[in-house]
Amino acid sequence: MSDFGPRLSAWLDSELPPDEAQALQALLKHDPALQAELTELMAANDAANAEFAAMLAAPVPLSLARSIDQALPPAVAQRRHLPTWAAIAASLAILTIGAGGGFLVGRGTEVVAVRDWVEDIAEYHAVYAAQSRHLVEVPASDSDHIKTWLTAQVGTPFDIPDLAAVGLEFQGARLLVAAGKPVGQLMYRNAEGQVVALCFVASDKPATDDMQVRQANGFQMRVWGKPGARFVLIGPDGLTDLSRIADAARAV
Amino acid sequence: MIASPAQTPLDPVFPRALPGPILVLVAPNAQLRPKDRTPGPVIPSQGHLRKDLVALLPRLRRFAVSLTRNTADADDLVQEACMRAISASDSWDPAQGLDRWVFRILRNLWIGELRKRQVRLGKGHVAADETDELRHETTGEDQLALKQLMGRLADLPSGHAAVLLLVAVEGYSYKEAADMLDVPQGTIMSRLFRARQMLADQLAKTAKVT
Repeated sequence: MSDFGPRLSAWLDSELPPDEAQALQALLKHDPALQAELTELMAANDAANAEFAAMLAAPVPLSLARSIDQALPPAVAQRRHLPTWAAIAASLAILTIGAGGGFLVGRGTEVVAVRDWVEDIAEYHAVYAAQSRHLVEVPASDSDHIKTWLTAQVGTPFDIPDLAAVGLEFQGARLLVAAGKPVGQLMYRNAEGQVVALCFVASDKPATDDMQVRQANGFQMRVWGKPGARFVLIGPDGLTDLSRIADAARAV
Repeated sequence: MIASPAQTPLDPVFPRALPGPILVLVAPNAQLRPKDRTPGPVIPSQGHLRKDLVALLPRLRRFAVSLTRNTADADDLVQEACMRAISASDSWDPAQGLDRWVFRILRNLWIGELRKRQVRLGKGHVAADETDELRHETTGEDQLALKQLMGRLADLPSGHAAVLLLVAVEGYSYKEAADMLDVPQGTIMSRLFRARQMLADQLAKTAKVT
């Protein structure tokens, strides 16, 4: 590299003062070695951009997403900083309730226990639906591989529903782990760019007759079961035809 | 007056005299300046702060890994930065964008953490622009995880990947990156060149091997 290296690099970033940029441009016109040096720096810049882009596709630990999604809002968080006398009083109150407070404790335990894969899906969706270039791990163009791969990983056969009739284009798939189980996630996008995902997990529970409606984390969901698998369709709260999409997906 | 390669068309003769790829990358990063990015800075409402932070996680993790060069440190840092953002949401000015605000929180937390580690090691107080040079202990396993995540960027010296990320990818100007990282603009310029030069050397070696 020549002494011009730092200036070439700054020129790539449009950070060179105008007079220096003009002088460098004039030199570049007639100096093949300098042109080659610039080409090398640009190739390096391209390589860096590709590596940084790939980093965005790395899975975010669910525990991290969950800890932020479930963080207490400031008003509640501030109440934690009780003066010592208040903290002691609060502890005494809890102890007092404790004698006959089995119901409350039991209820608390139950709330944790009913947390299921559907809630994990809602948290994953908040992360991945915001991705534009890295929405999926395997693109729709590789649908045959998606079927082989997810059937083997999730442990249940499945079809990729064609949801074009309800305005959705298949984008590709991801493999997730929710509630300790592998989950296949088929990603679709509508004309407005909204992301809808059909997720499925192997299950030995019987098929369901009805379709459950749930909401979590700013998303609406439709949940149903077929022999061998449970399904969740998830989309943004504002989407008006999620039930119609769910009917179309369920009919496949 | 030529303000920048992007703003002023080059002499029409110039591009034809250069190899093809140069045409693609003339003033490439000017297109990434925040004012030109679509969508623009993330500006959520208070009620959606947590949801927007979760959506921002991949970019926050990428910045944190670039700073810390350790995935476990990065995840701790991202979590702490998001918690600080949530608890201090009243002090956030939406005009600056959520991403910029949390990036700065994250960077400040990391400087603080490095200083704490240095004090614990008996090395005293360290200036902000020197903290990037501090070595922190990493195991072989850490290094492998870093390599898997960052690829070639894992081999850059400490403090270089974060500068490259902010300017070449996130679209910050040298001044903005200098303010964000609390280092002089000259340091930004020299680290960018050094990082690109090292990557260029790596590419040349790879080309020779293959």
